[in-house]
Amino acid sequence: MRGLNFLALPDDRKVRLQIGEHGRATFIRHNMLVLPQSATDAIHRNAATLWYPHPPSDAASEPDWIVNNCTDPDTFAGALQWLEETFQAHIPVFNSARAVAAATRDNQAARFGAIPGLTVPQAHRFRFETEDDLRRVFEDNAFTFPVLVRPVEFQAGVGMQRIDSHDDWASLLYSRWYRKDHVMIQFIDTKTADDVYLKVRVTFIGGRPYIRHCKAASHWLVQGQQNDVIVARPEYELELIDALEAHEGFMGICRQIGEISDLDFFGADMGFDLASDRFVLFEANPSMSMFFPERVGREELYFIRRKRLQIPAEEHLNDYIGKPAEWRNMRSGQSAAGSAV
Amino acid sequence: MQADAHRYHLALGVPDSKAATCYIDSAGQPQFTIANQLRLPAAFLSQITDEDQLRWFYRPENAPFPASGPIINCCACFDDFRKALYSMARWLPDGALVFNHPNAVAHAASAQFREGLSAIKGLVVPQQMRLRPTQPDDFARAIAKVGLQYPLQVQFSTHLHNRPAAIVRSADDWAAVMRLDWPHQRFLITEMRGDDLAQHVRIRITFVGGAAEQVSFAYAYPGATLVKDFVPPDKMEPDRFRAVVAQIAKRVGMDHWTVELSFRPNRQVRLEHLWPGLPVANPKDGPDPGQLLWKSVEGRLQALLQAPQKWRTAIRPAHQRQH
Repeated sequence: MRGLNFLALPDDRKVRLQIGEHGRATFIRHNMLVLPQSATDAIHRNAATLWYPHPPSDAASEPDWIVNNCTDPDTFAGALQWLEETFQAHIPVFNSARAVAAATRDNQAARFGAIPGLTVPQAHRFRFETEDDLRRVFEDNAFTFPVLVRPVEFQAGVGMQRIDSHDDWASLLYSRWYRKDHVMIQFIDTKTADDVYLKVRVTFIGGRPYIRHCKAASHWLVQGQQNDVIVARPEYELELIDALEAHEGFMGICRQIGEISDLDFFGADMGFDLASDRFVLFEANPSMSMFFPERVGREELYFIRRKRLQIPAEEHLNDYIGKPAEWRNMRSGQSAAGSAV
Repeated sequence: MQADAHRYHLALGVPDSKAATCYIDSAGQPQFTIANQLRLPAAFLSQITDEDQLRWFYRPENAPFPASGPIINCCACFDDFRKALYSMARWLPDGALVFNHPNAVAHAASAQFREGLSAIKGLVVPQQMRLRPTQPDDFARAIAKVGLQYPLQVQFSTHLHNRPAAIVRSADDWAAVMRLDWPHQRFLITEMRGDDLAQHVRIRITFVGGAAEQVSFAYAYPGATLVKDFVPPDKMEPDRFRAVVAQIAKRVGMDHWTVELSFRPNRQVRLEHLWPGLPVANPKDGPDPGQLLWKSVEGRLQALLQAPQKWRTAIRPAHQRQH
């Protein structure tokens, strides 16, 4: 069995550089699959690597399976189209091009909106030049304040702004993403009775959910460093995870998200308030970071978290990648693959 | 200082914007290119075989350079590499032989340097300002504050070897600039006179050490057609012209640099650009004077690079450098 590890350059060929720990400049692999090192090593042992748009060699032209590393349909539209058109439908593709294309923010309400107990905010994709353009999108799509507006291509809240009234539209003009595609999202308040905003990230592997982490903050943008409540009391995170795992309604929502999506590996961020059984889907996509390199010299809680939150998911992922016949794009098609890695 | 001619280091910069363009090489591997890097002869680059000979900036915690061996500063645009140049200057060892020292590159982009040039008799140094706008009216407001007069040439400051982004003829003529991808970009805005817009002759001169090569060409701004049978106005007398160029060269502290001048009808020359190294446009974008000059200077540049004892940092001890 020989696979193909598929990577690509962004359509616009523009990248950002960073200087790594080794002192060399490298470009950041923006919107590409982030797998644990064990999975990456296994794929490299059993697959040829192809960087689109380099033409495939003869050996790579008929792979037994493909791992698609391109996670964003805007960044990699050309590569994903090529992937879809070049290889026959019976070949197992980990995170198929079609599944990635369906995972846009503006498509989430249509895909997951019918799941009982889950609120999926309305989202609309658009481009603007003026305040009037923004106001028109808001009114034509019957949004109510507040709304969130963010550029489509970025994760981790980059460029996202909350708009509370018509007076705020001007703050969106002339940003670094001016005239580029944005999405307007209905803001849904998930603040708890304790004035805390809670967010959970769930990793999905072959449809099976694993809670990856929880964050808790006093600010509505629960993102990265904005995690002050858990920073002040780190054990609170595992208490929240215990409660979520014991919440039948939440776990049912997760199972349905995993069943509906055609992605093999992706993450979903949800806001929640357990006291009111309230769960709001912020986003679900394969661009999220869900595994992190092992680090030494950390405190005990780090190892407890790793053992509970990372290792079971990592083991399942490695096992799953080794069984291309079970990949999601084979669900309705014919299976021709055995063991891969 | 005794240079180790077989152990050069290239000091490379990540642009302030961190932006690069990527491509797939013939082996199928992803690579990136950075704009505005010093162009070096292929024969010279073949000596750089060890990854350790490449040092990247900007890094606040960057390890200092090795104590010996000549260093080539590859950052050929002050606006693109401000942080890298600053970081490089900080970490260079005392007494190092440095080709195009970062302080010299920074000095040539300074207002102080232009002020010095404006004292040269026969040389017109147009008023100029840098701007990084975040609002549409930042342009007009900054220009009024500095007192620049229309018409104005507006350029992306990191793409100076290309044509101007726009010519703004009056305070009501900013529409073309507004159509650009302007928010948060760095611009260089240069004052022009009405007759500057007419077709004229330019001369681009590349210096390699003390030697110079030049090429002249007809030039018209965007919107004006280049007339094939254009008759240039009287040129400045050769001796006067040489004197002006010599005065410019005296004020530049770089080893390899290029200046572009235009001949004005009143027998003056106008400073158009001054770059570290030699900017060479992509041949796919059409004929470029830089391509012609490169053919003329490549061998000479190779010879100078192989003789670090002739670099400016060797000729002028550190305590005499005022960049």
